[in-house]
Amino acid sequence: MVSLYDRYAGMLFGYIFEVVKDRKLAEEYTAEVFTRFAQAGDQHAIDNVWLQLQQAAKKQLSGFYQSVALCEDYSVNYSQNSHVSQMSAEQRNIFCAVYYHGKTTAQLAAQFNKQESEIRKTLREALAFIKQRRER
Amino acid sequence: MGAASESEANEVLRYKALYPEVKDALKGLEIDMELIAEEMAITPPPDIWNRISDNIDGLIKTEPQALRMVPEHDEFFDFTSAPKPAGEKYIEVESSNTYMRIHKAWQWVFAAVFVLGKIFLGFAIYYYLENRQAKEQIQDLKAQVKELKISR
Repeated sequence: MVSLYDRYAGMLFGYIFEVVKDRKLAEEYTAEVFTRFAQAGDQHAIDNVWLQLQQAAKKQLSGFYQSVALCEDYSVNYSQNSHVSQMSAEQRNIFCAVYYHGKTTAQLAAQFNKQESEIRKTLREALAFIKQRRER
Repeated sequence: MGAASESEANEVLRYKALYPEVKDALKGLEIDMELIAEEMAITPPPDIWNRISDNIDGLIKTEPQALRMVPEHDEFFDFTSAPKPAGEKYIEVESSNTYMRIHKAWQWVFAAVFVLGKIFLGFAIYYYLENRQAKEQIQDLKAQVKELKISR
């Protein structure tokens, strides 16, 4: 468990912090998700640990999503995250809503009154933007 | 990630089982997602691990039977079901952990009690010495009175 913590704690804490925007709350959620993960023991596969942790965090945060506004003010709040802060406003909103708030492209299409294909295109662009920046 | 509907996701999983190319592409996507998360990682404060470790120790102590750490159906890691409302997620567990956590505000209460204790101790010693000195003076006075009576 220590090795899993060393490997994924920063990633999980970073992910949760971007959702809740509060260090104390992010610490609580991170500790809770890891505790639950350890409690589940050998139930989870070992080849996609990060995705399982992320899914677990999304489940844990599901109550939080319902209680806060989505990504309207993210353009000003993303100063810490260099990747997201340099996306276009549209990419940032779509990426934030899908990646951090678990929205589906269908829901966003209805919310923004756009075609779902447009939303997917923007999401792909946002992911490609991060990938390009990483590869530089 | 939300980009595919449920039927599309099922279709992708079917193709994944059928075609190694799809499996490889999905693996690549998983790696990409992990790298994105790595890029956005924030180093957590060092005490989080202690909290997790304490929680795990508490859980192990409360579930000694057959060393089974997982309930038969843990909805938390059942990604196929919809999330339940927050109120239904937690199971009341009485922890046998020997450590107790209290709010930080109590440190001021403890400090005040400690300081007041010292002040009362100081007063007690002072009045004890005063009392002893007064008693000695009374004894001296009594002795002087006695001497005066005898000399008359």
